[in-house]
Amino acid sequence: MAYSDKVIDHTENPRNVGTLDKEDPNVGTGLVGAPACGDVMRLQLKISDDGTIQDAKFKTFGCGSAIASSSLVTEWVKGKTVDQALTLSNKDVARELALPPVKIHCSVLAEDAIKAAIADFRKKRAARQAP
Amino acid sequence: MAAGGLMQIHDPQKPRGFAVGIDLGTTHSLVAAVIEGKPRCLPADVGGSVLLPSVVHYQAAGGVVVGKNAQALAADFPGDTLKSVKRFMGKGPDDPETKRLGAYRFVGGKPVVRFDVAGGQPVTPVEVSGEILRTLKRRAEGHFMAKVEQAVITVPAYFDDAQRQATKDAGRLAGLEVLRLLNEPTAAALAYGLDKGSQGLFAVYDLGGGTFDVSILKLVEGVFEVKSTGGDTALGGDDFDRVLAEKFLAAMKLEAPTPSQVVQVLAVARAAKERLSVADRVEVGLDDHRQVVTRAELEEWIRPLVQKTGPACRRALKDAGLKPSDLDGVVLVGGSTRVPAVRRFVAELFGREPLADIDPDQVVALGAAIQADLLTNSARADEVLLLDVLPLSLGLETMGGVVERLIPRNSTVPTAAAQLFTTFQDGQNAMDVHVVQGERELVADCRSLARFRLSGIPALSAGMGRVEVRFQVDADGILAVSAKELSTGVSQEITVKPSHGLTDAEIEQMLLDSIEHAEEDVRARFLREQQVEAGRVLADARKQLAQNGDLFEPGERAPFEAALAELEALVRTATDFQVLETALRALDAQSRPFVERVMNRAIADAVSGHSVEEY
Amino acid sequence: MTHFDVFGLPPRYTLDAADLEKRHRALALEWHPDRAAPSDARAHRVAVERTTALNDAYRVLKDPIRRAFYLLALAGVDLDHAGGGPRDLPIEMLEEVLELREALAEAKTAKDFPRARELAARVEAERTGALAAAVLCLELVETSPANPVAVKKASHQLSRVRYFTRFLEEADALEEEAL
Repeated sequence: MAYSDKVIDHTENPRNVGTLDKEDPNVGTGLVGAPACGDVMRLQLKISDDGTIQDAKFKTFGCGSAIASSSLVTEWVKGKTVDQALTLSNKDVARELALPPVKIHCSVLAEDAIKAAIADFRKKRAARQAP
Repeated sequence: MAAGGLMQIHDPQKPRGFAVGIDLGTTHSLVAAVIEGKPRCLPADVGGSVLLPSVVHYQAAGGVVVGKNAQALAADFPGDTLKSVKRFMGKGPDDPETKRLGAYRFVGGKPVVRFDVAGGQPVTPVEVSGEILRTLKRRAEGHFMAKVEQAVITVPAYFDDAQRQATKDAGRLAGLEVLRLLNEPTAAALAYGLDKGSQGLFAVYDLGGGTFDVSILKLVEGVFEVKSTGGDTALGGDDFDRVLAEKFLAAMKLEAPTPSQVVQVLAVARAAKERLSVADRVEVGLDDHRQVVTRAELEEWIRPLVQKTGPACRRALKDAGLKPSDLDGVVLVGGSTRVPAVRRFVAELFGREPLADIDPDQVVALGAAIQADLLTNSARADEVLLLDVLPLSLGLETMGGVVERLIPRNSTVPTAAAQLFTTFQDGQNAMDVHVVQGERELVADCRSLARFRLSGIPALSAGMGRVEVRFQVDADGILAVSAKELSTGVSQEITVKPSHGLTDAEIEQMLLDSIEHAEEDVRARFLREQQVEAGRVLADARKQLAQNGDLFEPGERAPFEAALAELEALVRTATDFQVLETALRALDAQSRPFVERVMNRAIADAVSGHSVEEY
Repeated sequence: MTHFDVFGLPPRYTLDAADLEKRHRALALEWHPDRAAPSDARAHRVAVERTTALNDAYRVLKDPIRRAFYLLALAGVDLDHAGGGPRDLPIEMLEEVLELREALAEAKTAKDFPRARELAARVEAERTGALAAAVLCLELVETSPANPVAVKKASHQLSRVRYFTRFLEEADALEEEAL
């Protein structure tokens, strides 16, 4: 197993760690977990009304590759549209970080978190628009 | 050996193939055996002492001196006289252990520690330990007048795989078949359990010269089950000495002491520490420096070290799922448990007065002897079984230097685990595996045990090559690895050599080197054997002389007595076994007519209803 | 062969710990490599294999938490391998875990050891509760194996147990730092 420098970099200096106000109507929150590992990941996106992701924050309690995966996706989605973010696949994350097979599920977690955050944002929006 | 004559009358039922128990300690080592059903420590050093100081001196001429005689040379040859080598077993040259206060010259550049000593090649801790083991083996052979080729050797329970491998290698170098590496606290429990016929839950607190161990055991109906174990392989009485030595050096304002001074100050510190176990104050003299140390001061200085044993004890209890009040007893092992502050600490920690009725220096060797007997003496093999545990978790390095735990600590051995690896590139035909041991989450905080490459995986597309790697830990706590490619069924055995261990080739070379000295060794052993033999013949002859003196023909007695006197003198002065052997043969021939008469009388007496024993 | 088979026990959560220990002792006396003739390499190898299986089974079954996870795996949900386990955990469970981990991280930064201890005590109690709930579900599965709801509930509760265990490990590491 060769460990990519990118994983180590993202594990040691994770980007975008933090919290956004989850009551903010423009913030979508995704909360996912990998119970076998005991990993839990919260990923939040601040999305402008035109559907652009302005900010992304995460908090992950788990192994190095789970942290690296979430750190990487927050970097990637910033500035992208919601639709672009939805095309993001765990395979891209795994490839970029050169995750070995036993850690592929960490990239799945990160993909799930993005999707969950966007779903939360859309739900809020629908609730707001509903009469 | 000569047949007939006096030796025939004596006819000792020579015991063959003795298996011994060896406590290979940091400060001193012992050898013990079960004799007539009782474990006993054998004389191991000059003067009949059962304690052989674990000190090896390398002479410029190429000779090796072990024990007290080596200790006496330490001050004059600090770099060539190696002590506490156990602390370096299985360690790499960058280990913090090599940076401590001491007088050794290290040779760098290899995966294991090497000491630069007089008289030739640098030596590894394995070789130095091998010398100690060889000495113990010879002493035991001298005692039994028979070969000793099998041994149970004790190790701290908390020794990792590399340290265990190193100990086993040392046994091999000494010409011993290592029947078992037995954990020291388990050995102690065995000695206590069998001695007292105890049942129940016991904690064994073992603070030796260089290592600390704690084990929780359950004794039920002859089964000794280790529930949990913990410790620190770099904490012991040596550290107390060092703390004290550093205080002395500071008081003497010696900032850059010479190696000789270091050795001297450490020796004085050790003596002072030992005195303070019984005295309240002690005055220390070092050259023109005088200093009074009180027990209270010593206790203050070593307190942090003593307290360092606390978390391991609490964790061991927790791992066993017990509270201190659940225990039936606490056993003290190791010379450092003589320090009153240690005893108080143990009493407080476990909430009861600890037991120390078996000599804490001997108890481990006695237990090892019992286990050696259990493993070789089928007559008693039904009584007792030891179930020991893996002291430290085994894991693999995964992403970003994180450890994936495969076998948790305190698993009863033997045990095994399997891990499936999948290829992640097309055509990938090899994989690197890194095995680590320890409790920390990051690889960097664990001991690196071994790195190996699984090769020969058939070229398949990514994810299709699946290799199952099986890790098997044997009853010695030593790891073996095998791998199997599942799609093709191709399997391979992998020899896992510890990262900080010696290769098989190196061990072979060392064995060859030791054969160079073997000729010398054999002659020395034969000499000792002949000395013992002659002693026995002499004692027996004197007895016959007193009981059957009337059977001498006129003129026979005086030359016989002269021959005995001559042999007696030779036993003390002979340096060659052949000289003694010749003298024994001559005596044998000379005494034959007399012996025949003695035999005839014995037979006549037996026939007329008396037994020979009555004479 | 399941771990239960090794001991000749039915695959049930409830077992008598003293009886299990006794069985282990008896089988170890029978199978252990120390009891095989030292010269017989084949007998020795068989002894190592059997004792290994025995010890592994014992390690799992004697531990109330590992035993529960093992029964869940027998019911088809493997929470013992990376990436395994349910993907549909209720959001409240994850929130609970995240809040606890954040609180512990704060205590760690502030070196507030009493606070960490207090959290650990709370989580310990939560874990006991989650395990008890999981066991109830597992016992339902024992009596009626085709009970997907019970399996799912057990998997959720055991997921919580796993999360709480991770929390307690983290708290333990902090505790060792404090000493």
